[in-house]
Amino acid sequence: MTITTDTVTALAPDQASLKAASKLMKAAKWPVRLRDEVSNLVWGECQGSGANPYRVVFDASDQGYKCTCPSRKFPCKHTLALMWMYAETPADFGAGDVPDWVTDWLGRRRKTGAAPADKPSSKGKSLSLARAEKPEKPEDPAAIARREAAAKKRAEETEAALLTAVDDLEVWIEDQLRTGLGALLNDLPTRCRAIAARMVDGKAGALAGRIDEIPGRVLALTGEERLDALIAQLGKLVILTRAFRADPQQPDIRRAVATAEKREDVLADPNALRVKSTWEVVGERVTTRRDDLVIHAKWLLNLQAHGPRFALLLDFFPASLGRRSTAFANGEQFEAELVFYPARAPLRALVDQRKTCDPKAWPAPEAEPLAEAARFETALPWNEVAPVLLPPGRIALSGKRSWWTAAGGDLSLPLDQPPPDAVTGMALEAASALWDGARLSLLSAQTDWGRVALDG
Amino acid sequence: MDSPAAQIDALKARWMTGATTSGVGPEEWQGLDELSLLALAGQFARVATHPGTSAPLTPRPDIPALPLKPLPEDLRPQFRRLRDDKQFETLDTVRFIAARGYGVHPVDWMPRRTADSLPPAYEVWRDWLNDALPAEAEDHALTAETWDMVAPSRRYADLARLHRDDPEAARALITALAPTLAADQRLRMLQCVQAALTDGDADLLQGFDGDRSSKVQTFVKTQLARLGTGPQSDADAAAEIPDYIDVAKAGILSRKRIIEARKLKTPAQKKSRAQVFAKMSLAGLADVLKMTPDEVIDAWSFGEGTDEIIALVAATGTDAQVSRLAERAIEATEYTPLPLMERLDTATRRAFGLQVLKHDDLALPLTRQWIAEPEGDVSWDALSSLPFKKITSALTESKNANTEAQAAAGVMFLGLIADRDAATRIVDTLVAGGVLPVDPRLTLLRLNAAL
Repeated sequence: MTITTDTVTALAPDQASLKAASKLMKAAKWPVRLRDEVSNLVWGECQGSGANPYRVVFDASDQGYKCTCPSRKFPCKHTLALMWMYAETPADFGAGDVPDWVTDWLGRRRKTGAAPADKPSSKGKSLSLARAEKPEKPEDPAAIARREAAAKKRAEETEAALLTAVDDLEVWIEDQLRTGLGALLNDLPTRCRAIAARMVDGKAGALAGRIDEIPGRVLALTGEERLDALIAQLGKLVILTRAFRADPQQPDIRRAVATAEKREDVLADPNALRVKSTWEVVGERVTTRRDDLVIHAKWLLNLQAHGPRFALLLDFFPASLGRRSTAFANGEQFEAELVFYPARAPLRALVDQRKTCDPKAWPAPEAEPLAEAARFETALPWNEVAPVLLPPGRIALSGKRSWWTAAGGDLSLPLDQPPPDAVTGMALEAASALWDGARLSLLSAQTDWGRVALDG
Repeated sequence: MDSPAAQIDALKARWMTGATTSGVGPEEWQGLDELSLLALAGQFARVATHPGTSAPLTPRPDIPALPLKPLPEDLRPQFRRLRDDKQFETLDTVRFIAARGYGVHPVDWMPRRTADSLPPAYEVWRDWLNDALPAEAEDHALTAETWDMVAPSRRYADLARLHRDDPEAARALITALAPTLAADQRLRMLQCVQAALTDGDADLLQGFDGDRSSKVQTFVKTQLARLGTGPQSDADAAAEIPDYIDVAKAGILSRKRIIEARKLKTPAQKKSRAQVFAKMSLAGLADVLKMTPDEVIDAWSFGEGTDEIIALVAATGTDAQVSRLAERAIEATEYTPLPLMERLDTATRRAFGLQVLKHDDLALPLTRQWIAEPEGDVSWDALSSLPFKKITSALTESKNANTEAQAAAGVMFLGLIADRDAATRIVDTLVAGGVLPVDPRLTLLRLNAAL
């Protein structure tokens, strides 16, 4: 059995999915489209709405499929688009060796052999209808004026709400100082949750998420370090609220207080920083916020001399969807044009165009290991973590705590968690890591045993 | 005047309790509002100071290189996939890869600190994990005095070599040192005589016959049995033996004798029989039956009482007697006489394992226990008669999870024992039968074929 357009129609959960899939049927959106004739597997990578591309695979013999996107529709538009393209123009799919992620999927997959409870049906769905472009109706000028007025009013309300929220936050911090930070430390999760909820009411979603993380960050430290960490966290909130009041529209500040720009807006921004370079995935961090939002962060190292040293790809999805994998594995290199979100110290980015490349070496680290972090600190003093490229060093132990220590011994930084045993016996020729001012979190390293990933 | 850090510490102390901060803190900060002071104090720690440690930092020594070639980079993902498969013992794969002359990357796998059954090449990693490598490259001849100076990974190999080349010196060393060591170490020392065991070791072993460790005692009894000086039969038990077995005559001239255990009705009776056999030796049983031990083995009828005779021979028979009974058991039944197999040397176990493999496809995973060292050197000739159609069908069509899992375990096992050519042929045969070429269950066979 193979995939036909009828199969695609029948599998689609609804007409809207087909419509969405039709918009993805452009070669430019699919840097990878391959197949293996022997196993009847077809796979591809689609630059979807996330920062990371989605990986899609289907088995043409039985229509089993998998996509890494967080959609709740099965199959999702990416799967439908890949099947649809394959059904219409299989010649566009090159022959390729089945990659490990497809093999892993096969290993987890269970073929039940039983017929599905609801047999897919084409009823009420049509590919031609999905492809049809609706003629644009001329809009009523009065309606446009009404909509613009409503948007302006909403924006004004949002600004007022945000200003009220940052005022509330400052008052709350003053209250904590007045009643003593010792009492706050004893009741940190409850009090932070309460003020975070007020920030949500004030449309300061990013600020709320950040405050929710404070208990986790502070209480993970030793007793003697907690007060310093709490003061640092509250101090950064003060810097942020004051910066917001001074320039509420500044993109970095806006992103840290309210919400980030839309992906489409960043890609369409003619002034956005675009950097074509070779990038290596040096690490991944997956965190689940209190509100059950999973933040998937991929850190990229720029292997060429121009542009920012690091880039950060961020994706968000609800925890209820389970663990999602992304297209990029730690250690993978690719050539790509990255579009950076507007910032004083550009870091967060989106992948625009991408292709494979020959392996390249890491750039030489700076002589001063924390210089990169200091630049971030200067540009964005409310920032919490900064990526760093560390010079030669190795892991040393002090009691139960592990430290990264520079080869010359002139700098030692404590690690947030012990690395694998093996790494403690390696010479780290260079290491990429995140520095939060108190702890170093290793992402990956070049060692005398080759490259090792340390983010797992 | 206090340093800025001390002045900021004073501020923090006030904030901790909620006390007023008026007049506290660096002079330049005086007059600032409370929140500004908080922001500055928070940034001060981050910008102007680095965390320090009062305790000394101790770097670990480099991981020692293995005396093996590194596993090629493109094969590491396959090893990691096998490592992550919880149905499968990673150490088997490591052992197989070592047998091909390759070592895994330390980030992909490291032995446990307490691992006691490692491929010899990896023992230096366990010593490194335990900080037990010698401080410098030392080459001490092994004596009671240098024992502690020799790396643990080398001690026992050196002792086994010493026992082979100068058995008297090795026995003297064991006699002097073993009583001072822990049970596991005593056992490992005594195990060093196993490979080149001779009658001269009997006195040494008898010295540990009453060891306080049951593991040591069991080992010693087995080795004494190998020398033909195993435990004697209990007289009362010998008197009871005729109650449990019959000796019949068979053949045209009634020359062939058959020993049959009587059928017992209750678990209590069976328990009593097991207790009686446990107090007997093979030589003692032969005396009761007025036969030689070899005649007893040849005449035994497998069925009732098989467990008892196997346990008895495993505990008290010589190597030749154990091997003779194992061969008979395999020929006569599909019974898996594991206690006997544990007594045999690796080569004999392998030979028996392959014999079972030839006539019993269901024994694929069971044979795994018989072939202790997966060396990946079994040729296609020995494996080509396996029922690959049945295995393929179990992998691709079976609705029974157990059948599928057993077939998958069998395929993995074949990946451990097959040589390169056989591994390639097995993959080709399974794929031709309908298994997907990229089926992850073929990973070990593919790794095998690539090494």
